[in-house]
Amino acid sequence: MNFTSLRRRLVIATTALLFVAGCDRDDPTGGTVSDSMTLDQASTRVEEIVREAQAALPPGIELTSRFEGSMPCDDPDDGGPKGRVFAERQYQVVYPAGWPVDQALPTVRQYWEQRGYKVIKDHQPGGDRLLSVENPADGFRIGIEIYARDSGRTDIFLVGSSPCVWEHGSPPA
Amino acid sequence: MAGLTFEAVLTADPAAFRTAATAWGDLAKAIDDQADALIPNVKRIPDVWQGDAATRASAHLESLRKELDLAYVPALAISQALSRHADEVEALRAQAQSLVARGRGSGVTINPDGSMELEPSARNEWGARALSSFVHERDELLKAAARLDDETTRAITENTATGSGVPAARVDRASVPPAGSDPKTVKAWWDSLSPEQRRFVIAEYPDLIGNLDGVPVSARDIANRIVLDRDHDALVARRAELEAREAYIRRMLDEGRAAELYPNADNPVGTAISELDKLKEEREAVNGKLRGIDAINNRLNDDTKPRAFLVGFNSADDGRAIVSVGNPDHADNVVTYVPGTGSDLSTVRGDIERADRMAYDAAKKAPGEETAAIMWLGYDAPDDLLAATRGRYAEDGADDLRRFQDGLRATHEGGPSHNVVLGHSYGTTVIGHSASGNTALNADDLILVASPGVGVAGAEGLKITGGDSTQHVWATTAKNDVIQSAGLDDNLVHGENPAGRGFGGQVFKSDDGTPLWDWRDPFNKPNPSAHSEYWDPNNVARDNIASIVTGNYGDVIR
Repeated sequence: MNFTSLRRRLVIATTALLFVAGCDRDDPTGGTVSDSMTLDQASTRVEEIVREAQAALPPGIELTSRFEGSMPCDDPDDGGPKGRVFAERQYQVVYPAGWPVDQALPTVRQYWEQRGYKVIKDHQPGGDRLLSVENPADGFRIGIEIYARDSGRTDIFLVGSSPCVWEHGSPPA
Repeated sequence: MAGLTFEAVLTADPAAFRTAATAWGDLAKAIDDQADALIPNVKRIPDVWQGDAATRASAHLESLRKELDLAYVPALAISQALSRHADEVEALRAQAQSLVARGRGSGVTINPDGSMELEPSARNEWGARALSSFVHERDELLKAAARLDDETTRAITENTATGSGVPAARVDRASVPPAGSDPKTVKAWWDSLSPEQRRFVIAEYPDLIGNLDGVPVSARDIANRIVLDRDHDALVARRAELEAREAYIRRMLDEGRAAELYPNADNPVGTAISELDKLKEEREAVNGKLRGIDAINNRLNDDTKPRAFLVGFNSADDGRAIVSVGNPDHADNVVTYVPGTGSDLSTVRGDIERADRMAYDAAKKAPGEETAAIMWLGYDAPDDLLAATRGRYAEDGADDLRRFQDGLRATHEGGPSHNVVLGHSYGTTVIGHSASGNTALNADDLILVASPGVGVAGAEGLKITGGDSTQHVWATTAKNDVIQSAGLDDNLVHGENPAGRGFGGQVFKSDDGTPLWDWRDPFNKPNPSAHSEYWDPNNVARDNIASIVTGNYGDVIR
C-alpha cells in the first residue's frame, strides 16, 4: 500500500467512524427519533395533499392511482437512525377533451405558492415540465409532471411523498 | 390467431388474463405446498410400518411427490405466459386507441373494424400520406397481436397435462453446463432441449438452472422459486433447532447443570455462555435471511405491480438475490441495478423497491416501451464502510456481472434491448471493475450514482459494447453526499470521481440532498441522508435515470 492509498483509507475510515458516532442523532426532519406519524398516517396525508391539488385544478378531472408504496429512507450504511420509511403516491390526471391542459401547471404553482410551499424542483426536460414543492412546516412534498408525448397527447401526473417516519410511529424495540 | 380483428384488440380486456395468471400462480403454489406436505408423511412411514408393503407404499408416495414437483413447473409457466399476454394486450390496446385518436387529429376516421377513410377536408396529398402511414401501423399492430396470440397458445399447449400426467424427459445432471460457462453456449444447450426436458431440469436441478446465465429468465424464475421455497423451509427448521438448543442450555444453566453439558470443559459456565453467543449470532443471521426471503416472496406474489422474476438466488453466506421487475428477455429497455455497501439478503427489500421505482419511472417516461429493472445483488457486497475501502469485493463481483450482462443478451427475444447498468455507491466500483477488463461490459450505458471511484482515471478507461464511453458513462453525486468526502479532492478512495469534470464522462443533476451539517447547532453530528436520497420522489435524479434508461438522452438535466 503506497502513502496516497493509506491517506485515502484513513480519510474514509475517519468518515466511517464519524457516522458510526452519529447513529444516535435526532431526526433531521426536526422531531426526535422516538416519535413520528405512522406510515399509514403519512400515506393518508400524502393522498390529502394530492386531493387538495386536484381540487385546485380546473374541474372535470379524475385521478387514477399509478404507483403507491413505501421505501426505507436509509441505506444500510448511512449511519442515521435505521428503519424509517417514507410514503409515496403517484396519480395520473385523467381529463376530458377540451380540458385546459396548459393551465394545469400555473394553477397548481400559484396554489402551492399561496400556501408557502417551497419550490424544490422546476425543470423543462425536452417538452416536458417537472415542478415539485415542499411544505416547510411538515416536510411533505408534492409535484406535478407534464409529459408531451410524440403522439400529441399530454399526460399529467401528481406525485406526493412524505418525510421519513417510523412505520409504526416509533422505533422498533 | 387467424381472424384477429382490430376491434378485438381495441376492446381486449387484459384484466381477464391477469386474473387467470393469478389463478395459475395460486395453483402452482398449492401444488408445491402439497408436495412439501408429503415429505414428512413419507419420512414417517418406516417408524410405524415395516415390510415389503411399507416399502412399496413409501416408494409410491415418493413418486406422487415427484409428480407434484414436476407439475409445479408447467403451472407456473402458464401463469407467466398469461401474465405476459395481459401486459402485451394492454400495450397493444393502448396503441390501437392512440392510432384512432391520432387518426381523428389528422382527418382520418378509423372505424372499429380497422377500416379507414379520409374526411372530406383531408382529401389531399398530406391526408393520403397520413392514411398510408396509419394503414401500415394498423397492419403491424395486427401482426404483433397475432404473434403474441401464437406464443401464448404454444406456451399453454406445451405445459398442459396429458392423460398420462405432465410429461417430462430425463436429462443427466452432468450434461448441464457448469456455472461460469459462456452464456451463448448455455443458450445453445437450452435450445437443444425439448419442452419435456426443460421441465425436468427445472424441477430436478433448480439449484443449477436458477443461477445459470444463458438460461431464459422465465425458466430461471421458476427454478429459483423452488430453491427459495426449499431454503425458506430449511432456514425455519434451522432456527427451530437453534432456539431449542438455546432453551436447553439456558435451562441447564438455571439448574446449575452446566458441567453435564460440557463434562470435559474447565469452565462449563463460560463454555455455555460462549455457545449461547454463537447460537444467538447464527439465529440473528438466519432471521435476517428469512426477512429477505419474505421480502422477495412478498414482491413475487404482489399482483398489484408488474410481474417480478427471481433471476438468481442463493442463501449461503450473506446471500445473493437477483430480482427483475418485468421480464428482461421481452423488454425494450433493461436496467441492471447494482447496490452498494451493506446490501445483503437481509436488506433486500429497499433495493427491490428502488428497482420498482426505476421500472415505473421508465414506463412513465416512455409509455409505449417495456422496461425491466433488475436488482442485481449477485455479489458479496462489503458489510460496512471500512470494508468498502477494499477493492476485493468489486474484483470478485466483476466477472459475475459481466457474465450476467452477456446472459441478458443471449436470452433476449427479438431485436437487442437498450441495456443499462446502474450502480449505487460501492456498486459503481463493481461496475468499474467489470468494464475495465480485457473485454467490454455488455451495456449501452453506465450510470454511476454516488460513486467512491470506479478504479480507473477517466471514462475512457471503461469499455462498454454501447460504444464511446465518454458519451455513455453517466454519473451523479449529490452536493451534500458524504461520499464526496471519501478522498482528497476528486481523488476518491477507489479512484477519480466519476461525477467530477476531470473524469470525462457525462454528469447529470441530482438534488443537493439533506445538508451534511446543520450549522445552527455546532455540536450537531453529521447527517449522511443525502447518500440515500437519489430514489426519493421528486428527486431530479430519478427523472434523469428514467431518461437515460429509455434512451432519451436529450431530456437529461445536467
